[in-house]
Amino acid sequence: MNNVKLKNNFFTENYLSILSLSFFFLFWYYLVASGIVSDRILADPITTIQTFIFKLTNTSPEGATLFQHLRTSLILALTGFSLGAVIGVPLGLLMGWYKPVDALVRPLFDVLRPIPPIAWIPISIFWFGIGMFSKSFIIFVSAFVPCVINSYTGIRLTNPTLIRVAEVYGASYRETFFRVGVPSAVPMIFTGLKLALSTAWMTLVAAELLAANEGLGYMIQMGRRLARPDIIIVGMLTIGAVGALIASGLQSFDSKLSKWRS
Amino acid sequence: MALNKVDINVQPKEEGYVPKSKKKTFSYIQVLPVVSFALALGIWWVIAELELIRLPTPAEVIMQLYVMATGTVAGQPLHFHVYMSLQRVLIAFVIALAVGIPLGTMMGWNRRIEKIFNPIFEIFRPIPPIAWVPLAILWMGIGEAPKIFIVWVGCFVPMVVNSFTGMRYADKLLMDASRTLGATRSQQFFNVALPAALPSIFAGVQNGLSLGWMCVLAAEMIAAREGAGFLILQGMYVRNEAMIVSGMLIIGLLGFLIAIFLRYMEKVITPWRKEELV
Amino acid sequence: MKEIIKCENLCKTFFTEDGEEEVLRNINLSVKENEFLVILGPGQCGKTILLNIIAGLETATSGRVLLEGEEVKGPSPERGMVFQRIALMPWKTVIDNIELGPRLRGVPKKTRRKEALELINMVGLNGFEKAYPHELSGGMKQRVGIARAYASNPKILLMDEPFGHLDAQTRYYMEEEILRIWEQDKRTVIFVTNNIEEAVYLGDRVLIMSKLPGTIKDEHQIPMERPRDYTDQAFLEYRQEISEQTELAL
Repeated sequence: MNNVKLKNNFFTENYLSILSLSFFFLFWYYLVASGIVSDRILADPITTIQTFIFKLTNTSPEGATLFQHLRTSLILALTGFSLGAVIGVPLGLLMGWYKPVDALVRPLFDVLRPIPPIAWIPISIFWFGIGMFSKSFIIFVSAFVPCVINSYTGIRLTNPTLIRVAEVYGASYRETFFRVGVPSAVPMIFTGLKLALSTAWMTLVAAELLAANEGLGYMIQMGRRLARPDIIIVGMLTIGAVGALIASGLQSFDSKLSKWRS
Repeated sequence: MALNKVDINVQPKEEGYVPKSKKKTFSYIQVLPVVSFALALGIWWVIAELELIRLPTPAEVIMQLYVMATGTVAGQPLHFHVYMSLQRVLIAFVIALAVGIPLGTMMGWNRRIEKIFNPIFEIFRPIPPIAWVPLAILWMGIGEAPKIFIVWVGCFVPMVVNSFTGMRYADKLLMDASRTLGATRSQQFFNVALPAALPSIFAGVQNGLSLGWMCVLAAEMIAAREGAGFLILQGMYVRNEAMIVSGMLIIGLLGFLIAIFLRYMEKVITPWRKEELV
Repeated sequence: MKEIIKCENLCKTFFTEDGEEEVLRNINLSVKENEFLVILGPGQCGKTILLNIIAGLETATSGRVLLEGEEVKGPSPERGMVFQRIALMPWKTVIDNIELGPRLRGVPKKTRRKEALELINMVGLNGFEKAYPHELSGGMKQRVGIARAYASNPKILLMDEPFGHLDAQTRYYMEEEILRIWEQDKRTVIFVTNNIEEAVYLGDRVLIMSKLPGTIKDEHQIPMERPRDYTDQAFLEYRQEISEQTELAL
């Protein structure tokens, strides 16, 4: 459309956003400061920021600094996710390409697939206790399923014309797999990875709420037990921010990788 | 699509390339799923018997299902637990639908509205719904309200996001066409943009529902005395592995039924997508 | 014949972060009532933008468009349009698509249904009233588009390379069809194309556009009787004349 774009600065373009954000924070502050909402169930923005700064270096009241909680959670999430991806992506690709593999794995997979990763928490605790391994297992399961599904779909959608070209040039089935199937599945693989990562992060929080003694989920659970809403909010925002950062990191990696595509 | 092994010594014929006949492999492929199912069952049984990990045998699981179906768990029959979970999801889902879709579509349609709500939404969006549990319990106690709230958060976000994208990226050509037919702005919204956004909106509804289902389980595991999530947690507490596995299978089945229901609804609501669903 | 459309000094420039792009420069043209005017130009010469400005879907940077002496301010059913890409509502049946314009304007159901059925007959889609667009071929979809534009009883019809995406056979067929439909009441048509034969086959008058920035380079009257013959001597002469003047877009 026609755009006579004058040089608008950030402020005039986004004054509505700035206004609404300011109003939001002011309203939040007002709710607590005026006593409408008790400060035992909601902390005002300023207290939250103070607690955040405090928790960066202090272990009280629940036994670890924010960084320590974050580190624990991140390690768990990333190990579970990596394992799920490393096993899930190749499996999905193989299932999509080789009918025998599909026929063999599919029935089992179809039974396990509808079970949400969260439903694996009790059995994992039952088998492995509440340690790191148990949680890594749960996160592995949560990342595994989207990786398989998306890799499978990705390779199934390979352009048949490309496959025929490879056949005509005498490529074996296996060679076509590596040279045509896998590369053209890459976009869907990345979609699967993104999905797996956000599922993993979500499942991690749930697992930590139920069974942990460190980590961000543990931190917000303790915040509740100690009636410290400021800790809960700091924890929630950290969980959100880290999740968003990882997702955008993955996204930019995907963009760089797909530069060679149209 | 069957992909066949290619003999590299075969020269492609002049009049079109004919792949090797598939008849030979046809029957053995058919048999494989049965084989694999039997194999899986067998492996399951062996692991259970050997007690490598404490897995119930398939027989124990079936027994347990029967016991649960005919008896009670924590004082309530099985169908009551299922009913409670579904009810929580339904209520939250409907509220999310009523709030999320209007919000998302309006944000997509009107840039001003987008600018107002977007920053606040972007702060809350990355927070996983489950992370709201402690705050929700702090605010609302451990009754039905916090569970419904958590499920609502889970359903709400995808609905808003997908409604927004559906609206924002609705085909401009259709909008232009309606303008040449004399459509006013609000006529464009209801007659063109909204139907054009419907597939995307529905995708948001699907994502929302499956996310909501996961949230209800988590909420029930953390603070409930009935429900499907409570069921498997209870199995953990009384150290009844057959109960845990049975519960997982029930949950899986329910999730599967929900997915089928949604797929059916998609055909009903967006019947014109027939060719694109291939 | 009276003049129905007049473009006065139309100019269109796009301003982007990368700079300015001048798309149309000093377009002056006049369209007579009941005329079948063809605007012929290479790809990327701004002819679609010109048509959009006449339709009111875009605004000119300077200059104006007059419909029967009144300035055009926005889209209106008086200037019906048939688009290059299929612009049918995929969720509506053929007859609902055709009825869309009248329905938006509040025409009662009985009346608009009757008119729609007549139009379906006119474009030769009898039997397909309840079909969905995705069930139709390209040529059929465009016929629905034409019927839909007619349904609003427009003063002029704007057609933006409507047969561009059709295969050659269908294209020839649709060229005949559009003339057959047009001959029924000879509504004013402005038809945009990049195909020389199509221009000579269809138009009373052909305006030739240059490549970017687009201007009207020349004008040819084609007083031949219809139906015209692609292999006719006179046809080939006109074609030759015109093709010498068109520039290929590089």
